[in-house]
Amino acid sequence: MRKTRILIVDDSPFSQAVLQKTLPDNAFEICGLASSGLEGIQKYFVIKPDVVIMDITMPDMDGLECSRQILLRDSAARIVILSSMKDDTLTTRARLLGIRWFLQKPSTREELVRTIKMAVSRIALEWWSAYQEQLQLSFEEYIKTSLATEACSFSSSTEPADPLESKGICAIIGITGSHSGRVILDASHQTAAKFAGKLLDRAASPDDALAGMAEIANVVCGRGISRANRIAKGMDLRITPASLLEGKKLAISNLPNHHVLTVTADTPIGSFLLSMEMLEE
Amino acid sequence: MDARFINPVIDAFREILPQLGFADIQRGKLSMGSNSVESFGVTVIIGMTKDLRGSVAYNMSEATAMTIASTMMGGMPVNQFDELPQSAISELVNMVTANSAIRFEQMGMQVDISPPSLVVGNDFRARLLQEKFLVIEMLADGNLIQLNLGLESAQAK
Repeated sequence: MRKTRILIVDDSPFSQAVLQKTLPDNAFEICGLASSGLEGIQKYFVIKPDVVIMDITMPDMDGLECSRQILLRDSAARIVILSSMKDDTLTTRARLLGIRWFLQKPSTREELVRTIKMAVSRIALEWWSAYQEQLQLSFEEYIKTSLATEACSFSSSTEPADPLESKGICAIIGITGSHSGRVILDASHQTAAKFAGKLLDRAASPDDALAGMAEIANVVCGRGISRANRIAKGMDLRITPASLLEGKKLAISNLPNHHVLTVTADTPIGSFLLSMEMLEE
Repeated sequence: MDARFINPVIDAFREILPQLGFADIQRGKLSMGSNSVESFGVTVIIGMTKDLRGSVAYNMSEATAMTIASTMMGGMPVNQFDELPQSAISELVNMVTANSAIRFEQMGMQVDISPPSLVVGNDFRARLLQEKFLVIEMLADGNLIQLNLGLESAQAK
């Protein structure tokens, strides 16, 4: 994948050096350095970086004025403010310019990387957050309530295996509307059968196990997505009916250019995995 | 399952596949499937919602998938069904389904489609929304792609 190209606009040689040392890896490269606001504007339009890391205090103009002049000519510019100064006046001025990303120095590499990733992404942070948080919450509630136990532990990962190797049964629900994506629920045949048996209060057939997985996926997505739509302004997601896959060996490929979070629920009857993906376009 | 759903999908297939480098497009058998779609090795599932709900499962063997991907990539040799040929197949499914969706809209049915999920494996099957579904065999330069349509109109629910 192409690296994210970053322009640093900061008059401090020390700050420039720190960013140059810590940021570049196989996902990021520094494609330019500017030590003043004017140089920042000139370099922005020559280099056309994916994202700008902008200081505020600079000799000729402050970083917000520099950002304003860039945004005036390129409203799609992605700018992350990284400044030792951060107060309500500055964050308000930045927000009014349309800049969502404001970090205070010193920032950890992890925080900076996360912010840059969100800044270059075409998904607004609040949409992705609402999507994954509400689905996760709805998944946790549903599993605990239907198994009538608190003895479940949940762990999450933003870098899951590609492809996703199924344990036996998976339910896929497509996400459409203002954003596209999908949700996958996966469990072994035994776990799915135990779950269905618990709900039906009798021994579950293989068909019951499949129906149970579809039920979990439908309820978790229905509840999670409707709550996310209420929370995130402008987001309007819809879900497709669940498709079920089951078999001895099957693996689902990751979607291209997507954000992903997987949550694993370890329960007394076995583990369930919920993978939540959202495409960038 | 409504027979009106068949033609838009076939027409979409006939329109898109030539654009991807296939000269001869034929329709094979048309039948009714029940219970589940037995995978040929590569199955791509794409969901639909709004006026039409359900999913379409595109089914093909891994060898066919590699041949198709190679044609789509201008004859580039494909010896392994890895990331690049997989994304070519997903793209094909996306294009055919999006084109079908436009045709459904022309019939007065608004349809939203989900991203395609590409599944690879052996001895596995897919269940669609309904017990009974339509099975359409399509051949692109002799390569068999089986389309399984598990769709219903939302009003019918």
